[in-house]
Amino acid sequence: MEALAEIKNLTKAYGRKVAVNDMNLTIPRGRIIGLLGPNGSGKTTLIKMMSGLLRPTSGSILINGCRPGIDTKAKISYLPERTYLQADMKVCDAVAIFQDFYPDFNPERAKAMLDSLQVPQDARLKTLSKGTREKIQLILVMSRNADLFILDEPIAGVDPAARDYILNTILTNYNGNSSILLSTHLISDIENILDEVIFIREGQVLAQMGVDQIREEHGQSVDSYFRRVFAC
Amino acid sequence: MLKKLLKYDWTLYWRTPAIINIFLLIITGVGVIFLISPLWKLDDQLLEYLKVLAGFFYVVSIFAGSMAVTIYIAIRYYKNLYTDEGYLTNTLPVAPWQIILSKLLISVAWNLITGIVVMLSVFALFMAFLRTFDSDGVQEVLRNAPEIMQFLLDFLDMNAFTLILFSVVYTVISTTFSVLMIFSAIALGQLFTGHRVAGAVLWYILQYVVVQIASAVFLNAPIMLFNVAGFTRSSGSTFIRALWSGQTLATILGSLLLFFIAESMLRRNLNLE
Repeated sequence: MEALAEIKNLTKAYGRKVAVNDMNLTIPRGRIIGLLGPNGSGKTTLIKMMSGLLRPTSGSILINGCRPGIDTKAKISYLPERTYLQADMKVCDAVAIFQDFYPDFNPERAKAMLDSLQVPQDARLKTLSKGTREKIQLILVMSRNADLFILDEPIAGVDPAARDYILNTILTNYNGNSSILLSTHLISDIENILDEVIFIREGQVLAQMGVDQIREEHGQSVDSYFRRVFAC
Repeated sequence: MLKKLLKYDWTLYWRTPAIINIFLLIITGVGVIFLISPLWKLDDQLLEYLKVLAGFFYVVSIFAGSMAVTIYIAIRYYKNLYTDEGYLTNTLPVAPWQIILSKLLISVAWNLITGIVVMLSVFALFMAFLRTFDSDGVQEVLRNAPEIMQFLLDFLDMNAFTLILFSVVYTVISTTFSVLMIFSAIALGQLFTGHRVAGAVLWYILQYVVVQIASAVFLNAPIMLFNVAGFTRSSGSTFIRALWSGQTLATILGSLLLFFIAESMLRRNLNLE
């Protein structure tokens, strides 16, 4: 299967603390991949390096054959674990920013999703609830026709109904040519949408395998297998 | 992409500096109205206190207003690049130099606008003061202005257009340098993991001290070497023009260096927490 991203000997150290340790990883095209690991295992650090927000200490990242930079930013749609839209901004301003800067942004798709969420376009983000702001951010990210969607903890801290909305939004906007790298530790909620998983522990890849493979070879759900692998 | 960045940097961040400048204009308007009102000619002890208080309030407002715009620029730059908002700014498919240049142009524009407002304010109050306390003085100032200007032009051996052009260019360049001092200090402050704001303040102070020392050396050395005994109007004007040109060139080179620091830190050492 053609590789969308290739990570070789990637290390990120903060002083003496090593967050990502000599990691090697290949992300194929057309897959929904769960990046799974306990808190502090290096998931977010890896994602930030792929998105160009952190500089690796050593090693290389190639996305579509390019190092993180302008070209890769145009191809990656990244949802961080925090709200990055300015609170004073109106919803329509946020849509306009995405439309202006990302040629692959589909404004009709975004508008349809915002309408379904019943968010007025002229509402200021600070007047909306935290949950709604997070959904708007997800809508914007998923309204792109990117090669790689990187979603960092998209369902953390949201209620079950919102969780369903988010997963549905991800699934309905995903196209088969792109890949989704989805980081979470809430495995049971997402395992039904995953094609494969990457287990990370202490900054290293513990395993990368298909979800069906886990079920067939180990006779367990991903969640149960994860619990077994990461048992303290 | 630079055009788009400029559009967003302007439309998202124009409100606060605009409000500050409107506030300065209102203060000026109120000050002028009070100064030209008969109230100020009354001889009353309480009014005397009020006059001092009003004058003090005006000076503080003007100073605080222009400082507020500078502080707002620094905060916006820091927040937009190095906090949560940076997760969007730094994942846009644009080059770091475009991001910095866009913010630089907008910041310089607001600093210049504020500078013009402050100058107009001081001028308006000065004229109102002269009108109230010395009506003849206003006429005299206006009458003598062309003569003073001509003396300056003769001394510098320039025509009015060249002097104005040179002044405007120098003002823009020195404003650019001041803004880039803030940008580069914030960028270098990122090296202090865990104390990034304190690091930025420290770098700013350090840069400020270095610039002050360099300016003192740069200005004093030629003055000390200048042949005072053989001073003529011609040698004086040549000296002043050379000094001014040299300072402009040094400010341009300094600006390029600071831009390079801010850009390379963003390109090579971005480490968002």
